[in-house]
Amino acid sequence: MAGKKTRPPIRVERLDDYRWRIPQTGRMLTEGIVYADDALFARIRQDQSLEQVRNVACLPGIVGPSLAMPDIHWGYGFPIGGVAAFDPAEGIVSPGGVGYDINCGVRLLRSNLTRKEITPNLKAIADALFRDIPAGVGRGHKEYQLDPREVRQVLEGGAAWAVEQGFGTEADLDHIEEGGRLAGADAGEVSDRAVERGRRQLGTVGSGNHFIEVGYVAEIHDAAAASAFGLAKNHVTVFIHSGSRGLGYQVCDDFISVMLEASSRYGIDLPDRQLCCAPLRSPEGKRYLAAMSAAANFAFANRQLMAHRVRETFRHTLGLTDRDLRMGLVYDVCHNIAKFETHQVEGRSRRLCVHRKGATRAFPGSAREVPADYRKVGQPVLIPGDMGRRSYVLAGAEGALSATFGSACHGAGRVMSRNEARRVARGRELVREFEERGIFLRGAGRATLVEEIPEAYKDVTEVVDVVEGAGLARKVAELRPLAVIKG
Amino acid sequence: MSREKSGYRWLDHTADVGVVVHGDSLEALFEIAAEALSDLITDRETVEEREERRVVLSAPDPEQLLVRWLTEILAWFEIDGLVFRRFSVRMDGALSLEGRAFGEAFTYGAADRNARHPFRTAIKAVTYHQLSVRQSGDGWEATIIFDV
Repeated sequence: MAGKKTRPPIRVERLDDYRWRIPQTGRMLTEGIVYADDALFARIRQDQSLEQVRNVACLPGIVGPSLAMPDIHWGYGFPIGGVAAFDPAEGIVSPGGVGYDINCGVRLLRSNLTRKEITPNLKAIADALFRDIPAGVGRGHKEYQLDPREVRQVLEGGAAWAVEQGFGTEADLDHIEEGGRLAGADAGEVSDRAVERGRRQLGTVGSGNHFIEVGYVAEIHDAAAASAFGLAKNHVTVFIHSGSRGLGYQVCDDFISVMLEASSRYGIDLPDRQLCCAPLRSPEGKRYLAAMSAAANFAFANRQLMAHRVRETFRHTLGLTDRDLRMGLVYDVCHNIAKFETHQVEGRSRRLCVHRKGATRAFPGSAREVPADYRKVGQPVLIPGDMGRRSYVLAGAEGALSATFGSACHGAGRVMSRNEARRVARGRELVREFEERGIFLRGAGRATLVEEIPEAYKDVTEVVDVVEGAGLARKVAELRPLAVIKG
Repeated sequence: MSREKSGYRWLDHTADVGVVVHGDSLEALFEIAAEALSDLITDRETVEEREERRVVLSAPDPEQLLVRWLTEILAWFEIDGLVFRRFSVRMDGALSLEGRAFGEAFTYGAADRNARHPFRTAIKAVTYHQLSVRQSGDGWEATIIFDV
């Protein structure tokens, strides 16, 4: 970056085909472990994400290594793709370890429709989804706004609130991480401005890398798990990727101000201001967790509402019933979250605050958090790729529990900056180009589409291969896109 | 040390968007930073000055003050649907400001026949990551990274 001194290179040691170690030096309280193969690691070294892995290792009360998933890239404070666990008594919680888009996450719907059956109506489905579910920048819904009192109910009820309002079914809740509701939420810790930013945005996709994607199961890698997840070859699926929208960004922003002050008061020496934090047992730490959980619940409700609209749109456009379509929820996972979980550390069961920033929980079937119908195969781990190539459904493996606090990657990770992507996409007619490949692309503006071209991302297969090779999760199915709605 | 002209230039950052801003004075720096943010959202040249917003802010240091000021502009955009062409900042010291923003309702999208503004980038937040406000020659320089 301009005007910056060159930093001494970070010392790394190779552990095996998929792991690299940053030894504990200087102010680090633990080592760093980065999951990557040679090709991915060569790219990771080019930005400052390894420094960020090291910085996280300096935070008080960290338990186990500062971890990075193979889709790691440079974030603000924590790297994107970072995982770190903290002791409840000695450790900290950091808004920078969660990110602005609190509980940004992804959910996957399955269906009984085959690719062949949907093809004649695909354009109509793409147009209807784009019309029915607000995407893009601006004020969100015109017709559907909540009053501040209702927003507060969403903040404490999460996806369960949405189901009570008739958006979806009780069965959906079993297939959402944490049942779609974090219990520690306190709407009273969410500022009026955050509520104001959220009230027209429930049930909206947003912009940037968020999307709704209609796809199909192109390949099955694990028949037993695919069958448990309700995934069959050539059947149509729908991905929904979004988070807590402006409400979550505002909660993060509000608490960074609080934490900047708290960090200095509690004598926490910060390598980067964006790592500002407070002890988990401090009033500031507890307040942040309560507000973050509330924003996470807003995100769960947001995705629940959109899933309901997707089902409605499919019914109306195709003239079919729910019984014909059977668009059950495969699973819903958080990408950006901090929460208490119980993990085995050196043979001892410990309650820890696990931060996942651009990482997915990937519990094996042995974990009691995994719903009963997935116990034999493990939790579905949903890994969207770019909008042109492929995405994966994985299943959490035992290796994740012992090595990464039950975590895996969350996506492909960018390789091009937005400016580079714009340069590469200059003069291209993306909508037509995609249509020729059989993918209907709908976007609120050209700006997002050009920044999100497939070439701007790594091929997600590279990332998923490392996760599987390292024993964190295993491949269940590969999905390919048919229609993509972007903000 | 050579003095850089007032203005801003973008930084290439893989996931996010950064900007380096120069101003003759701290007030000018804050105004130009706000212009950069507006240009990131839309084309400022297309915006007319029909409405005004005003805010008084203070913070423990100039960096936090800059984040609060830019976050205010983001909130006006997201909550009130306003985009801005021009800003005016008055400061008494480096820890408080009175800011004014002049612009109009944001109209864009294929669905809106009266749409006049292009939409460029949706910004989630103004981050503290590598944030700095510093004196540079006889002016001021700031580095800001936006989460997009």
